[in-house]
Amino acid sequence: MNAPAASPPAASPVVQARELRKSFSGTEVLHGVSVDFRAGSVHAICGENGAGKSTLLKIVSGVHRPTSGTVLVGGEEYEGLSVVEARKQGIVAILQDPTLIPTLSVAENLFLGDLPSAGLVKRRSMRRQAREILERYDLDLDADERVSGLTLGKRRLLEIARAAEQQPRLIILDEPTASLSDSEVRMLARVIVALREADAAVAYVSHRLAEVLEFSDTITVLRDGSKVDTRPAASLDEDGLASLMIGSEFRAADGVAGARRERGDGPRATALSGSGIVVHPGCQPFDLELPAGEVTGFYGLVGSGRSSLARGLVGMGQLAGGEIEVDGRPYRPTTSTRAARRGLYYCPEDRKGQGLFYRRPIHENVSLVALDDLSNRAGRIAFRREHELATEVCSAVRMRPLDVDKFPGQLSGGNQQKVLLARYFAAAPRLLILDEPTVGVDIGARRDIHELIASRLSPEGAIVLISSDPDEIFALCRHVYVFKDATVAAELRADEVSREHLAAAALGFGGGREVAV
Amino acid sequence: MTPLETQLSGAPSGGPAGASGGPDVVERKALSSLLVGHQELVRVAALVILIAIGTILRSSFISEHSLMSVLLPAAPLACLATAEAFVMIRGKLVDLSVGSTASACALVAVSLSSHGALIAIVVPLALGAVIGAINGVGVGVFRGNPIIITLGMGSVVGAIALGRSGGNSETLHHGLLESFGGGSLAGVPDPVIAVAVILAATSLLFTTGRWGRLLRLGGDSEEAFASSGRQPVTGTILAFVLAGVFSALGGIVLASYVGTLDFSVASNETLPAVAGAVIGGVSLFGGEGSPWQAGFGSVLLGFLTSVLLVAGLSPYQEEIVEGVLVVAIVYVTERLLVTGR
Repeated sequence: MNAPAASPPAASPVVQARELRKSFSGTEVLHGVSVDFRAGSVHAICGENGAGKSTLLKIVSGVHRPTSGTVLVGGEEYEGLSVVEARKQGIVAILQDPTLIPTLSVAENLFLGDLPSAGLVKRRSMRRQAREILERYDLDLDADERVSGLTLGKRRLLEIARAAEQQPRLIILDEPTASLSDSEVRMLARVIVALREADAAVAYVSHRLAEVLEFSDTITVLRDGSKVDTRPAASLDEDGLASLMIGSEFRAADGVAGARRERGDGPRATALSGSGIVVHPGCQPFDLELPAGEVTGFYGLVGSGRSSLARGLVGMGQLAGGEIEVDGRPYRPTTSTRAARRGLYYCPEDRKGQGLFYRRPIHENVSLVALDDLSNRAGRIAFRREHELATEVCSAVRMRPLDVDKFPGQLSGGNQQKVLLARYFAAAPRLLILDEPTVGVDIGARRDIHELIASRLSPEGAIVLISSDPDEIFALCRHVYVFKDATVAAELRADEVSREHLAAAALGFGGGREVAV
Repeated sequence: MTPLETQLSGAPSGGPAGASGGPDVVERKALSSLLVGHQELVRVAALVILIAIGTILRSSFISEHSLMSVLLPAAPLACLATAEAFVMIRGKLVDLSVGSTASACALVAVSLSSHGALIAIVVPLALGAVIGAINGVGVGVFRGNPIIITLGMGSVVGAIALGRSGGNSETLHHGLLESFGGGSLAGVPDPVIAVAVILAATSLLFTTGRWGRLLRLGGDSEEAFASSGRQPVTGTILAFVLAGVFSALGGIVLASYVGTLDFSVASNETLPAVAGAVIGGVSLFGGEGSPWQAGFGSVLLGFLTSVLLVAGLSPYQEEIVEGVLVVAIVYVTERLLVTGR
């Protein structure tokens, strides 16, 4: 591994972006942005989707060539850094797509391209060194485990550790926490501390503002391709940062707080109730009650069985056991068709792979669940009615631009998520399970989606919100099931729902009522 | 050297404001989205160019007789291409039994032609539907690999047809089917008119009906389909049944104008059928396409073949060149579709 020259004194910038401009097909998306990255300091770049964060960082890491402006690194001024030059100068980018080889072990991936060998790979010394590295970053991973067996979050951490081992001048982390569970975020925090102590500069991009504020020393806010400000992180709070990002006073979802408070304690019908549910064979059975007219939270770490339960409930997976009733009548979740007939829908987490039809226009995406009502007895689709319905629900979810003939791929991530939600809202479901509905969307869309969930709540319909984000659960739910090891670890109600309780319960330390097992 | 370089230089997409990729990527995207946006125009232009080349090589190419001699064999091929279109639209599937099914059904039509045209049409269609249903259940319910299942089905059907006929040719009896095969209206052969009408009607039903919509959506993404409360299995069976029926139709049309045939009359038509569908704009990835596109693609393929022959290639050379061209066209079409979106 080629270590770059020794780091300059902590105060001076190691990498400087100077007046960077970038145009794509004649449209300027970055209007002369300057940012200094200093050694031993974490510099967060914040902004909504489309603000220019990725473009800026791609120029710095050599992927894009700026239209004008320079990148100053290692005393040299580059007009257009190439990826290879950036690497030589010690600029490493950890992007959204993983670059690990799934069929190799953790240790092998750590030493990829630099295997300790004397003709043959020295497995033992490789394993020993790998363990040292994992220990140094406090990563709870087995050096011999295959990468394909790791969670997405652990893979991410491994990748970051691997990059950190190359002693980079500047390490760029683009949305590193997007797929991380809470405990993994703690692990990332330790890696970042280690990087800082090693005098590396860290550029950090994330939509999770609480983490941005916690991890970073300096924050630069971009809006519409221009720099709004660079401030010390200590001088900002979440609302202040959000206001800078969207350019107006930020208030968390208006309707949401109301929705939490409004619902009194009057008797509510139960949309779905289950007893003795077993998600995977051998797991602890638990009971479930999902009242109509309420958002019930499923909180837990990634991999705690929430999605498996959800998929099992709508017939997209198999539950190992349990009696379920919908509207007081027995229900067996065998197929998704049967679930849909009883009004049960699951809105998947991975909208790219499992949610949207990218080769079909938006109106076809949205009208699918209501298609039977939109066609006559001969099976002919009433196109005008379909179009009207699609436009109506898409405008209700504030999809922008409001053109249902476009394809989903032409929209931003947040708007794609809205299209996905619109599909289910077009059907007035009895139970709608939303799996991580705001992962990877910007804060404006996130607020829209939260308001939407609160406002779409009808007295007849129950909503389940699966989320790893305690703020989101806290904002929308008065009743939360906390999952651990594919079973309910705790059930929190009303005042018990708080960040601290959620985190503690997910890790298995009390918090709320322990469920007897 | 880590895989990072390769990844970085691969310019990951999904940047803000559609601003991903360098200038050449942007240019290529613009070009391909232009072509994708005007796919139909490109295909019509290709047809005009092919006819123009044919006419330059031989002035009689544009004569009615010559044009019809291209369209007539394109009619059964269009049926087979439509059969492929249904399974391809259903999603990443292919039916390798269409050639054998069409041959067997042609043979059945011919041998039943003494019992009247109705029986000679209905029985083979029903046979095609049964063959398709077995394929569909094998792929949809038992989750068999579509290539293996349909390949196996093709050889079973071919072997049965061979055994029943003893390998002998049979000849169409005089009657309605024979006069249909040899007849023409305003110079256009009856089989061409019939297939054009059937494909137009099927396309209309396919684009306006719920079944067509469900087939396309299920073909785009099975997971998304399931999370919308639908099951893809019904669509899979439907697609294969339709493929069987349209293979049988192709066989009947072929029998009507060929007259004398044996069990292998259309056995080599499976690959041209796939090619016709893809050239016409049916996506191998599923979710996109329509019967009329498969039909138009078959016509294009027919003209390509005849232009190559007119250019002086021997039938063997022609097959080699056509094979290479078809693979190239399929590759380019799919590439453009992928980058154009």
